[in-house]
Amino acid sequence: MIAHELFQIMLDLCPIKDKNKVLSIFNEKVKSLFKNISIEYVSGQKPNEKFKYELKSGSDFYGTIVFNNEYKKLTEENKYYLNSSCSLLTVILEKIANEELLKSDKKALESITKKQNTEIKESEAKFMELYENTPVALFRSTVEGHVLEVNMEMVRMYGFDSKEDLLNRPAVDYYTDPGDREKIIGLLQKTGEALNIISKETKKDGSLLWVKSNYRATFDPENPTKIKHIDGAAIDITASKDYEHELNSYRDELEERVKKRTNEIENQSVKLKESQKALTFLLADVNESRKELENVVKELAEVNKDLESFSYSVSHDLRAPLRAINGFTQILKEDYYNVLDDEGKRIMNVIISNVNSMTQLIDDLLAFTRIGRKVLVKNIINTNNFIRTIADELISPLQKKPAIIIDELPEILGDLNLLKQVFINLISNAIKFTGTVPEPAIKISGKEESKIVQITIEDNGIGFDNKYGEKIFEVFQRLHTVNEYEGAGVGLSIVKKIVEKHDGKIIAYGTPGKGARFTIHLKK
Amino acid sequence: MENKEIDILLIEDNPNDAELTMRALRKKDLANNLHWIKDGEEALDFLLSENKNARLKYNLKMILLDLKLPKISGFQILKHIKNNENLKNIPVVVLTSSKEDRDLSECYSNSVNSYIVKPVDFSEFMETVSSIGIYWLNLNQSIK
Repeated sequence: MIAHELFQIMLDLCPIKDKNKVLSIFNEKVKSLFKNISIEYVSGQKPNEKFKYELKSGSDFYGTIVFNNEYKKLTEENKYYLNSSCSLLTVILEKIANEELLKSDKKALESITKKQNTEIKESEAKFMELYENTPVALFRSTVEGHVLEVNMEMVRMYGFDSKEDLLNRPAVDYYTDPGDREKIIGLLQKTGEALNIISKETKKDGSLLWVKSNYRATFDPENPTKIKHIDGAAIDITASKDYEHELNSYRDELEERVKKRTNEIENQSVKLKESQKALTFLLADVNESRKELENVVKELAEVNKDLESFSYSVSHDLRAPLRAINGFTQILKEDYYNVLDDEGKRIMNVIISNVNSMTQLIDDLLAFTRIGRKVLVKNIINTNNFIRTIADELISPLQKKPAIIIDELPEILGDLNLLKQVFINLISNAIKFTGTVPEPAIKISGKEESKIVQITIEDNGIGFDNKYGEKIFEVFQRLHTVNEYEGAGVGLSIVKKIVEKHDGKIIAYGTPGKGARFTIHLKK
Repeated sequence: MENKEIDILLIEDNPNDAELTMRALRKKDLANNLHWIKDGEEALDFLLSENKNARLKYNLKMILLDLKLPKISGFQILKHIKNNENLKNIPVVVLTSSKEDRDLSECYSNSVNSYIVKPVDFSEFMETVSSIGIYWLNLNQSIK
C-alpha cells in the first residue's frame, strides 16, 4: 500500500468515490486543495445528471462542488488511473456512474472483482518491479530522520549491500552538511514540497556524491501542521557535478591567471608611471641645469666683456701716464741734466727704469689675456725650419752663443703665430739662463708616439729646483730677482696657456746649476 | 687763425701726449703750422662747419688723431673725414695707446692712412712721431 501512496505523489488531482458515493481516497493534490476533506453524496442524481458533493470541513473550500457534464470525462480519467493501480475502485466508480447497471449485474461484478484481484496482484508485481528498477532513488523517512522505505536504486546509489543495511542509517547522515536536511524540512513545513534540491552527500564508504532530489511531505490528518512522513526521489548528478567542478576550477584558475596577469600589468603600469615621474623629474633637473648653465654662460660672457673692457682700459689708460712720466723724465734729463747732482741723476734713472719695467709688465699681461680670446688656426708646421728661423732671429750671428743643436724634428699641428710665441719664449729663456755658463748649449729634440708629438728644449744653464716645477708657470712668478735676470714672470705662463689651448701639456724638469728641460706634448 | 696755413691738425685730449707729440715734431721743425684740438666735438666742428674749403683754406696736409676722445670718438671722426668728398684725401694718422687688433682693423677698414701705437719709451716716441710727420708731409707735398 505504501508503494501506491508513494506513487501518488506523482499524479494529478484525482478524487475517488466509494460504494456510498463518498469520496474516500484522494491523492495528495486533492488533499492539499481540500484540506480535511470528507465529501458526501447528497441525493440520487443520475450519471448524466449533476453530482453534488459537499465539503464537510476545511476552511478554504467549504461548500459545494458541482461536477456538471464533466462527469464522463472524469470517469475516463479515473479509469485510466485506476486501471494502473486501483482497479477495484474503478469498478465502484463505474457503479457510481451507473448505479442501475451495478444492481443488475452484480454477478458479473463479482467475477470481474475476482478477475480484478488477480490483475491487482499482477499489476502490483509490475509496479514493484518498476519501483525497484527505476533509475531514481525513492525513499520515505520521518521528520526525525528514520528512513522507512527505499527502493533498490537507493541501495545501489549509496553503495549499501541491502535495504536492511541502509535502513539503519539515519537520514541526516546522508548530507555532508547536516544543515541541508534542516533547510529541506523547513521548506517542507512551509510549502509541503522541496524541489530540485542539490546537495552534497556521502555514500556508505564515505565517498562523496552530488544528488538532485524532490521531496514532498505528508501531513498528519489529526495534526495538519505535523509532517507524518517525507517522500522523496533522488538522482545522482555527481558526473555532471564533477564536470561542473572541473569547469569551475578551470574557471577559477583562469580567473586567477587573469587576476595575476592584471596585477602584473598594474604593477608594470605603476612602474611605468614611476619611471615616467622619474623621467619628468630628470627632465626638470636637466632643464634646471640647462638654465643654470645658461646663466653661467651669460655671467661668463659678462665677465669676459668686463675683462675685455678692463684690458682695453689698461692698454689705453695705464699706458698714457707711463708715457707721460717717461717722456717728461726724459725731457728733464735732456734739458736739465747739468743742473742735477749725482744723486738727482741716479734718482731720475731709477724712475725711468721703473717706468720701463711697468710698461713691460702691462704689455706682457695684455699679451697673456689676449691669448685666451684668440681663435686657433691650426696648420701642419715644418718644425725644423720653423724653430731654426726662430733661433736665428734670437741669436746674433756675430755672437754665435749659445750653440743651438736642433735634431730631426717631427711635424707639429697648431697655430703658427701662437706656437712661434711659445718657442720664442722657451728659447729666449734658455739663452737668458745660460748667459753665465762658460760653454752654453741648447738642444732641441723631438719624437712622435701614437699621434702625440713631443718637442724638448734643454739647456745647461743655471737650472731650477724641481720643487718649483709647477710654480714657474704661474703669472708673475719668478725664481730670480730682477737684478739677476730681467723679465716680468709672464713668459712661461704664456707658453703654458698656448700649449693648453692646443689641448697639449708642458712638463718642466730642472737641476740647480746643471740645466733645465721643457717638454711640450702636442696632439697631431 | 683766419687764412693761416695749417700743416698738421692734432686731435688729442691728453695734454701730456699732446705736448710730447708737439715736442717731437718741433725737434724736426715740423710743428710750425700745427693746430691742436682737445676733443672730438670741437674737431668735427672745425672740420665740417667749414668743410667746403677746410682743406683749401688751411691747406691741411695731415691729421694726427687719437682714438679715445671725449664726446665723439676718434673712429667717428675718422669715418666723417673719409666719407666727406672734400676731406677724404687728407692723410689721417691714428696715434693711439691701443694695441688691440680690433681697433687696428676698424681703423684700416675706415681707410686710415697709418695706425701708430704710441711707444712709452721717450726716444722711441720721439723718433716715431717725427718720422711719420716727415713721411706724410713729404708725401703730401709730392702729390701736390
